[in-house]
Amino acid sequence: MDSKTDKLLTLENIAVGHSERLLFSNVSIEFKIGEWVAIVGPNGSGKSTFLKTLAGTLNPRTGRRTAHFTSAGYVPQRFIVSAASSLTVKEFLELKPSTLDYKSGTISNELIQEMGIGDFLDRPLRILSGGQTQRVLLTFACLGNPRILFLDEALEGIDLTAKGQIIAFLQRERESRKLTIIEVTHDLAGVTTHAERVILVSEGVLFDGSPHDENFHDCIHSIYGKKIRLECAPEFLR
Amino acid sequence: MNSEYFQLFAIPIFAVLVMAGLCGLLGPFVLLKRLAFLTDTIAHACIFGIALGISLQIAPYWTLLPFAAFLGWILSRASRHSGEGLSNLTAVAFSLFLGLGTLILSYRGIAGQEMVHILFGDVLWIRSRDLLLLLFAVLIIVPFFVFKFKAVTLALVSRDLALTSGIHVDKLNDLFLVLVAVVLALCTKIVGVLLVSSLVVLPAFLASSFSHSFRQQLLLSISIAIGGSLVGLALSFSKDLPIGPSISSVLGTALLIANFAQVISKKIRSLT
Repeated sequence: MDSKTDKLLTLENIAVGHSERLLFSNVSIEFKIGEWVAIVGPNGSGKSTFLKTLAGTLNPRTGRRTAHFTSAGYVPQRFIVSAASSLTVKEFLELKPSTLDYKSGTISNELIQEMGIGDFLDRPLRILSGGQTQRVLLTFACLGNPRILFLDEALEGIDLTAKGQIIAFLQRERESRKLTIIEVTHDLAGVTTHAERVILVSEGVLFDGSPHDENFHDCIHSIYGKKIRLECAPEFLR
Repeated sequence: MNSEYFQLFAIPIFAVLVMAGLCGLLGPFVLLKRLAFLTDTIAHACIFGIALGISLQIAPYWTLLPFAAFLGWILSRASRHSGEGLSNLTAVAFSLFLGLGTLILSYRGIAGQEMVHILFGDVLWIRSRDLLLLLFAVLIIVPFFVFKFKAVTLALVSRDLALTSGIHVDKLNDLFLVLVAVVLALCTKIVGVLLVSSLVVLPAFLASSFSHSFRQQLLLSISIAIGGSLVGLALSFSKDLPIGPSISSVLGTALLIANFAQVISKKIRSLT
């Protein structure tokens, strides 16, 4: 596959931010098929706003976004369900249109098992714990075999065993059908284990490259003000 | 049944039950978007639409329904473009249009009993034209929610999830708010502000306590709205009480009793 058709998402000279505050400007960046990209940076650096711009839920202030895909999965950082709604997990998952995982009107058992949500499919969303809600959102994102996933701290709050299982599932999806994953995370150790590319943002894109690059470690040091051991993720997450 | 009796009682009772069903259907969707206050805002802001009609000396429907559609559309767009939450904007619209509407009515010399009539309505004033408009609203609203159920529900749960799932969420949200505003305006003109808010919010809240799925909540909300209206009507006719407040009181009391019973049953379960 040549480099031209390899592109899945391209941003040209974009400015990102809200009306009160421009977070960064003049950014040009592209994402290729099958990449696992981690976006890291301190609080308030614009990671989530950047991800929303990539996902197309927020228009860039200036510049152009070109997406070469029609189906995407997205896990937002914040997801609040009305306490006065009885919408169940199953009903919520069934809301996703044209899901290829559907077999005779039901959701793929394989995906349900991979995400570990089988026990609470009939429960209302409003009573789920934070970790359970994240797993449901991940399932929703993966329904219909999207070509790209945008994950905003999607693995936060999920217990270690389930987290390892989900990462392994996403890795398999990536290898088998070239799924592209772009995630915002604070888990710097995790970045080195499963992401092949890392983008460090803080008032602009400070670094874009391999998480094993020495320059990345230097940038992290300059941003966070101290040395951080990046190779300390548990073995089963690698 | 003679025609006078039919005009005086049968049409109003049937209209209230149709309205109850319609409001009972809208309620769970409104709560899903966490916009319980929206019904109050639109119902109160409708006073401005009614005042416009009275000022221009035309039938209030001609100003009220376009105003309601405009209000729903502008609220939806303003919340999207300003980044301000819809609930904050509805609070602004509430004060602005209630104030303007009351000023216009006051300028036209409408106060006292007539204001009470606008605010609380009088079911016995419902005529066949009102009923026909309601049935027309049912013909538009029900297919909209049946055929667009998944897309509307997802758009109300999360704009971002709907957008990344390929749904034209902004147009759908605009349409949802316009339809809700027009239906609420129609109901407000017929039965007053108080009963409309009660019929949308209370049955949906009550249904959420007893339902195990959103579809159940929808069916239960419609049933509670119709059942509560029947009990309220019976109470009103037997004790010669105003109909709107009777229905609101029945639904409100049922909600309080249900919540109280749930708290007690939880306590008992935790003790045993």
